[in-house]
Amino acid sequence: MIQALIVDDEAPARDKLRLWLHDQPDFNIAGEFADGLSAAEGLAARTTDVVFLDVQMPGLTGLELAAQLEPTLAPLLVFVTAYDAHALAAFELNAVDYLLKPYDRDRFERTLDRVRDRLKSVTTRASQVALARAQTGVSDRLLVPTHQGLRMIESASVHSLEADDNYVRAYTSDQCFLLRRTLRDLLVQLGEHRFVRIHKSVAVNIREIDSLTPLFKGDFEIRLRSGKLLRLSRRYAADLFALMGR
Amino acid sequence: MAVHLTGMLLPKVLDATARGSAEQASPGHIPSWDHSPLVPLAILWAFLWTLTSITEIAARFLHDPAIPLWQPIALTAIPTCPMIAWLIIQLRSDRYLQPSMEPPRPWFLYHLRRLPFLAIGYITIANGLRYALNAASGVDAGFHGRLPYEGIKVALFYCLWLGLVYGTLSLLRSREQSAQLARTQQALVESQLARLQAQLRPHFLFNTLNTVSALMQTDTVRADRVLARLGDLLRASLGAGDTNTVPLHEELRLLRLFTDIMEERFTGRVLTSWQIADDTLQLPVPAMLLQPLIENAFKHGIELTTGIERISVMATRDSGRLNIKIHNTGSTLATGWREGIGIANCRERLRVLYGPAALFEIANELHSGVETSISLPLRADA
Repeated sequence: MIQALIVDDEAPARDKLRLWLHDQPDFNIAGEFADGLSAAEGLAARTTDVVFLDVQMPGLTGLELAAQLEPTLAPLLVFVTAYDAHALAAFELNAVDYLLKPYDRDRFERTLDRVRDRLKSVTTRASQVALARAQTGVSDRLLVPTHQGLRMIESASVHSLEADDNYVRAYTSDQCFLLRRTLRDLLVQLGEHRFVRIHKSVAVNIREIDSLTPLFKGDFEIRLRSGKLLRLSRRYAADLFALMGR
Repeated sequence: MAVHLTGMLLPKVLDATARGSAEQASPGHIPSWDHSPLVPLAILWAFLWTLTSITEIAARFLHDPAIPLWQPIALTAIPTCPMIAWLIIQLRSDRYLQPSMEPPRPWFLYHLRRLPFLAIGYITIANGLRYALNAASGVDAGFHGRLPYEGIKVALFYCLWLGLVYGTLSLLRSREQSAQLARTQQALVESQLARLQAQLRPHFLFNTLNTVSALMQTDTVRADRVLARLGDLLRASLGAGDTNTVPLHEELRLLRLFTDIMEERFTGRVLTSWQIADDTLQLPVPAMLLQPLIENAFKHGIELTTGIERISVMATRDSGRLNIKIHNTGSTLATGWREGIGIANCRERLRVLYGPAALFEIANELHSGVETSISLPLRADA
């Protein structure tokens, strides 16, 4: 069974998707959500194959939500939108699935066929997340898990990022969040001009750097404003200096 | 009037109206030139004066072929100085370059009345200079008995000049007017386009159509109802601009069509309340004035929030004024917020229709939310 989520802030729009998906023997509706943040929690809580994602929603729009996903872990997305000239051109260009409101049964069935075809497609997942990021720009807010569920924090409040197996630890002045992301993709999402790698598995917020002290062999010791000390590997020193020099 | 309908079209139309009323307010004010006519006039003057001078030099030669060449040239060149002074005096006169010379008679009479003074001044100075040349060089400039000749020459030159000025200015004016007409037509076309776009506010339209599509699967009666309301609203929007004011109850009917549709879309997320005093129902209000305001209330209070929010509309009549308030919970104005085009439009319309007598205010409300207040005098000219 293909596990599907329905995300739309307008109840009639969810009704229509639910009714039509219900007629499909191979689709199961795993959940329905009325805003982006609860949809993100729904995604985190269960295995999902495809999300029918409204673009215009309060709190976190469909595109903003998509921009927060790790491409390799993301479900297939079908963007549903009433009118969005910019995004439409991008959807077409990147062959990302979308439904235009109002859509008819034929269009809906064709979309489902495409979903069935692409269930295992890695490139589709990567391109849909890349498209969402291109549309929304570098994320100013970051979706992080807490004990009370997901939360949005200001990207600027993150001091450093440290990779740990399949996870990344994001440190703010007083908290640490464990994200199931790769450091490489997180840096793309947050902007490589704002967060810069100082070590194979560590990146820092460039605005939080307080001072640099040379060590042996071309390495440096970085002191963050918070007082935290980190090592800048000589492999990344040139990149950092280039960014800071700007 | 319309579904958002008032949006963009009004700014330009209103702009034009505002300009029109400003002109009425100060009659006699004439729009200035786009391009100053001074340069073409100067060229024309130089041309005319050169012709006159050549004629005079030729006449002196014919009169006395033995005369040395420099004499007639010097004698003719000397009056050029006072002539330039005269020209400058003229150009500095308000009446000279005024762009509208309709009707022509006062313009000509005004200038002809100045002719004797100018002629006397010119002849005195020009002949004074010639006399000085005379005394210095011993040449007979022959100015004895030339007063009638000089007088006629100046008068002819002046009349010819006035005619040329009039013709030139009229030509330039008509060119500028055609250019202005073209610009106005362009603006009109643009405003009509903007109006079409505004009338079909796409988000609202397509989401509503999708709601109808969803309801068709479950409840055709409700689907029909939404469709009928959407139809009414679109009809009203297509008629927008045909009328200036409508009774408040008509404006409220359109607001209700809109809120009914929005309640269907945002099922259970919005509570609307209407507190409309009976004695306000027949009062005239500018058509489609409130539509953008209720749209804003939904956009910020409902569409961008996840909870259950309230929207209320109030109308009261109070000592010769109609007071309307539209309030929504769920949003507040951020510090430094800027008015969108819908709001700017309402403000501008009220200014044009009522002047300072109309009050329009958007503010955060004490108990949370945003309130838009409008207060209108009951008579537009009050």
